[in-house]
Amino acid sequence: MKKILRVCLLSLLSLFTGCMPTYTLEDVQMIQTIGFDYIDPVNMQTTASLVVYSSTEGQVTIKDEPVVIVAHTFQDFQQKLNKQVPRPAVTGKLSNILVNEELARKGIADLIDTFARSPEVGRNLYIAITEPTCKDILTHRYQITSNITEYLKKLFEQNEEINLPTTNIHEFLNAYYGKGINPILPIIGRNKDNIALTGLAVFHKDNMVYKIPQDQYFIFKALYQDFNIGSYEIGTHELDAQHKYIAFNNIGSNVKVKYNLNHEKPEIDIYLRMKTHLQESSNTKHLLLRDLKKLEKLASQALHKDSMKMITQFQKRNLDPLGYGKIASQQDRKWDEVEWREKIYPKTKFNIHINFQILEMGTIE
Amino acid sequence: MHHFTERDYLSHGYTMLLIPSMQIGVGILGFQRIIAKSAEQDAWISVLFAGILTYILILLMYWFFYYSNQDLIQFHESFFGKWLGKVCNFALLCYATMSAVTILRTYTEVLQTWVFPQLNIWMFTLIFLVVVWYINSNGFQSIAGISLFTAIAAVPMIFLKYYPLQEADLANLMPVWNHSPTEILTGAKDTSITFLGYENLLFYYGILKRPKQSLRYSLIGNTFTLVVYLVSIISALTYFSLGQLSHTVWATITQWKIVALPFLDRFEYIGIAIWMFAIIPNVCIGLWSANYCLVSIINRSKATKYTLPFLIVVVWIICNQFNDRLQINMLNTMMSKIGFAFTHGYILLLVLLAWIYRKVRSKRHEENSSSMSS
Repeated sequence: MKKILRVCLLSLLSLFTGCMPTYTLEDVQMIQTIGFDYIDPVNMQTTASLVVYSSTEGQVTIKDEPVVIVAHTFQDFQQKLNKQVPRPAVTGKLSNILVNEELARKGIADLIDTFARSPEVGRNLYIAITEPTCKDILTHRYQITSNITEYLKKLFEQNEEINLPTTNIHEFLNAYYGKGINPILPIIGRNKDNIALTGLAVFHKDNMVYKIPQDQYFIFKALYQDFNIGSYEIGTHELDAQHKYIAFNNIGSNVKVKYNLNHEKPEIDIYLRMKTHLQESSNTKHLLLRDLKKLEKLASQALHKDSMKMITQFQKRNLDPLGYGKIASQQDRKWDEVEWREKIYPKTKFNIHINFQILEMGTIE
Repeated sequence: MHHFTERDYLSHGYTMLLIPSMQIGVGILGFQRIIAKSAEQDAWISVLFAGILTYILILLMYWFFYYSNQDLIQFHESFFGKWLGKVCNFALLCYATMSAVTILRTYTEVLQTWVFPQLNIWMFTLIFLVVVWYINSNGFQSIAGISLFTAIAAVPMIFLKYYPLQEADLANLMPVWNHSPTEILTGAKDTSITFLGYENLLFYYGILKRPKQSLRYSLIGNTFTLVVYLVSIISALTYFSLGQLSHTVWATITQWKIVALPFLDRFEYIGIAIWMFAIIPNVCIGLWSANYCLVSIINRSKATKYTLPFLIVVVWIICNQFNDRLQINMLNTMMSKIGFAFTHGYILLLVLLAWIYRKVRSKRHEENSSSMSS
């Protein structure tokens, strides 16, 4: 009797499983890309790209449908959006967040907080800054694809593989809440019928303050992280009239940073080792084996010049997107954030040591 | 006094499972932030310290058992006498009940924040407690069996750290030992709370077949916990920056977010659900301990039938008195303080008391035998 009672009670439990609201894929409206534009200090113009499935002749096509709403917060936007769409809007599959440059310069702390806080939002997510308004980017009809979410996501993913430094939401939050590093985000623009990466935005706290042009992606990435893919073209016309440019494929780049721990005369040594395969040169006559050493030297000098120029720019503005403060804090036991930012970093002397190796020159000589 | 039946007795090797299964519970989901507050990148040293301290406390418990030769409930009655002993056991009863409440309510909070904001706590805790009652009503052996689930849930969790470690920066741990001993010890103190759970051995010691031989297995169990905690803290410190970690309430679950499997985009929902299997043995052992206290306080064989359902109802009602983050946080802070005092203060005192107890008893024994011979 007791046993039967027990079994009955336990089997009753299975009846409780349906008590929670469920969300079936067909019954929700997924927001996959969302963009924020600045209107005034209180309001934002929010553009969401909704996924619409339509089937024609048995084939299911995925299309994006932009919706533009003026709201003060993301929550406000979701409520207003729900008044316009037949199914509840959910952010579980959010892939891209776009922020207009104007808004980014004014500060995006509350947006960051919202997305970092929400358990619904995943970590497989990109944030990017847009040069035109987000509305312009998200409402334009592109010939290359009808699904802008996929377009943006693949754009970031494939560029991250090559020259674009890693800039997903985790990297951004890591730098945003961390010490001794300024967060970076990619900037995109629209060029007629295409979306293009145009630079890197550097943030101080939550305000965008500086823009790194896209032709410095490669140098930035080489100094920022180790990677083993990507290609670059160095302009060497100032150094050698015979070689106007050298193009190469990076097959293994490795960077090491050493801080001398001297607070009075701070120096940072950067050791950059790069193994490459030569791709192209403007002067085909000089692509011979005996010229190899000369080419390596030329490339090293040019890389040195470019990276020095970039770092000096950062130092002048007291920005540290490459995270030298963070590296110094790992090496220096007496590191202090304020002292570093105000006294040490601006007067730090950077010594860049480049070891540029051309391993192969292709299949012909 | 509660008498165990033959079927209740358990092989001593089971402490290897019982100890970590009580230690690893909800704490591991978010302890990283609390330790990193004081010890920052040296937090892993704090964890190591706390682990070593736990070894010492386990040894002290066995020292107590060596002197007293019985579990804590029986010792209270034989040392303090019937009434004062019952008062002490009542305090233990409250402690064990509240630890079960804390675990269950904190886990429910995780569910509410991450998965089901609309979750009806009355309903969920009821279902949960029915399962706990079912396991508990079959005696301690089935609890020991269920304890295996903690190990089954915890081992894959170590492997899942593979995903965050791919993006981790080991240099975050540098410079090593850059904090004063006080800061590191403060971190160790905060960690020792997540190691709590071994003290339940004081309750179930009597049920082991050859209890004295279980020491080795208890230490192995604690080693398992230590390894799990070390892996968790190191992966959190290397994956998050310190500022980011201080904003992350449930670092372990946030790390589950990036686990990407081809057929499963968001692992954390599965992870939280699986984690329930690590929570069940926690609540079971807590309730079993409470029940054992209650039975020995009442000391009537007729009443034993009703003590467990009574405790279940009590836990169920108390659980539902805590409604928001603030109250749950308060509950956790309070319980960790009591638990800390219980393990780090009372266990030391117990060794002393048991030593006195043995001295007095052997003296009385001598007197008895000498008076008998004369």
